[in-house]
Amino acid sequence: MNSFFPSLVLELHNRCEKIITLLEQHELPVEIEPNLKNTIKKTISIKSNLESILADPDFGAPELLINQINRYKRCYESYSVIEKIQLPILLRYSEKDHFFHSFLKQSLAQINYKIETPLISAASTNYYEVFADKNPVFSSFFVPVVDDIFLLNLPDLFHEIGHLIFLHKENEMSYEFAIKFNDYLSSEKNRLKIQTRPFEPKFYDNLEELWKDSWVKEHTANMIATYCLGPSFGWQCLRICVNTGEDVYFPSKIITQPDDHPSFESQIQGILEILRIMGMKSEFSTLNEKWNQYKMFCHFDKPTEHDHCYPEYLMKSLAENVFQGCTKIGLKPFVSQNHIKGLINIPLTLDHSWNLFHIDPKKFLIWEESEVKNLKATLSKIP
Amino acid sequence: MSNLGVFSHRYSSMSDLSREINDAAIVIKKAHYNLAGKKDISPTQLADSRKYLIDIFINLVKNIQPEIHDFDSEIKKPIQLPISFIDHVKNSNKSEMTYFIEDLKKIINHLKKDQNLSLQDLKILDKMCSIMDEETSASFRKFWRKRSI
Repeated sequence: MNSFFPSLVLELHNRCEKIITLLEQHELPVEIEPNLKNTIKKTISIKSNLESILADPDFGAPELLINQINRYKRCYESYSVIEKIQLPILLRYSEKDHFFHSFLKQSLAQINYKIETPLISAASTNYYEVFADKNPVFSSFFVPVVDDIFLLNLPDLFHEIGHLIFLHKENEMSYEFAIKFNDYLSSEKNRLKIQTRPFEPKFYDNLEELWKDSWVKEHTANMIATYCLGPSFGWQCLRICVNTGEDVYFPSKIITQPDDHPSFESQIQGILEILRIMGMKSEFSTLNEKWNQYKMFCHFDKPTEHDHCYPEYLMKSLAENVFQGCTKIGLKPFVSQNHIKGLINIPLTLDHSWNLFHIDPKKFLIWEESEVKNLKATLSKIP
Repeated sequence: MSNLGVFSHRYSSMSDLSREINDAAIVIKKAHYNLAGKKDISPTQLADSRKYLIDIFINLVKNIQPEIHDFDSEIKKPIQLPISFIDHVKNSNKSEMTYFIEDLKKIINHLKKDQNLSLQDLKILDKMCSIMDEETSASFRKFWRKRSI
C-alpha cells in the first residue's frame, strides 16, 4: 500500500486538474454560471485536500495510514459526485434544463426559500429525484424528460425540494417529533418486557431504523410540499398510489427492505394533517373522501401492525413539528400565496391545474397545453 | 419519488461526520506519537480535536446505553450519530459490551484530563474511525447503485 496509495492520490489530483480546465473552458448561459463557478471551486477544494495529504510530513506514517486512506476516500467520493452528477448536467445543459432552472428558481422564490438555485436536469430515468447536499448549490434535481409539457406531475418537484429543506433544517422540522418517537419506542419496548404483545423486540428495532433512516425524511418532504402547495400535492400522491397499484398499507409488517417508502396510507394521513393544520377544511374533506373511496374499492386489508408502525398521534406530532418548522424558517404557506399581475404563481397554477382536472378532464387537457406555453413564455422573461 | 433524496441525505450527514472524526483523530495521533507534523498543530487545534472526540464518545455511550447518566450534564446538544454507526459499534462489541463501555469511559476521561492515551484508547479511536469510514463508504455505494452508474 505504501507506493500504491500515493499513486492513487496523484491520479485523483490529476483528474481534478483536468476537470477544472474542462469546466473553465466551458461556456454556459449566464444563469448557470454560479453553479459552474461553485463546481470549479469545489473541485479546487478537493484538489487542495489531496495536496495537503501529499504535503503532510507524516504522509505514509504507519500510525496514520488508515486515517490518510480515509481522507483520500472522502476526497474520491466528493470527486465522484462532481464527475457523475454535476458534470453531465453542466456539459450537456439543454433548453429543457434551462426551462426547469427558471421553474425551480421561481418556485424557490415563491415559497420564500432563499438559496442559490441548484442544478436541475431534465433527463431523469428515475422520475423526480434530488441529490441533496449540505451546500444547496451542490445539490442537483432530476426531472422526467417530458415534464416540461405537462403540469400534473410538477408537485413532485416540491417533494424533492422538501428533502433539501429537511437536510438543511432537520432540527427545526423534526426535533420535537424525534423526542416523542424515542419515548414511543422505549414505552413499547418496556411493555414487551412486562406483558404479552404480538410483536418481537426485533419489530421495534426495525421500526426505529426505518423511521430514523428514511420514513421521517419522506414524510417530512411530503409535509413541506403540502405546506407549500396545498391539496395539489395530495392529489399527485393519490395519483402515484393508483398508478403504482401499491397496497396502501405496505410496508407495515416491517421485515422488508430498509429503504422502503412509508405506506401510502400514512403518507396521505400526513398530507391531510398539514391541510387540517392550515385550516383547509373543504380540501381536507374532498381528498379524504376520495382516498377512503379508493381504499374501499380496492379492498385493501389493514394489517394490525400498521397502527403500530404509524401511530396517529406521532403522525400528528410530526405534522405539527413540520408546520412549525416551515413557519419558523419563513417558508410561505400555500394559503398565503396570491396572484401578481404579469407573473405566474406556481403553487396557485398547480392548484388550479388539479382543480380543472377534477371538474372537466377534457377541458383541462386543452387548457394545459396553452398554460404550458404561457408558463414557458413568462419564465423566459425572468432573468 | 425515488430514494435518492434519502440516500444522499444520509451520505451527506455521514461523510461530514466521518471527515470530522477522522481529522480529529489525526491531530490526536500526531500529538500522541510525536510525529513530524506535531509542530504544525496549534494548542487550540489540539484542544478542539480533544473536545470534539469527547463529545462524540459521550454521545455514543448515551446512544448505546441510555440508562447511563454519568455524562448527562455534559450533553449540551446531542450530536446525531447515524443509527447504522451505532448498530455497527453495538454488533462489533456485542459479547463484551460492559467492557467496551468501560473502555469508552476511560478514553473520555483521558481526553478530558489531557492524559496520555493508552494502547487500548488508541485501538478504540482507530476502531471508531474505521467503523465510521465503513458506514460512509457503504452509504456512498448504496446511492451509486441506486443510480446504476
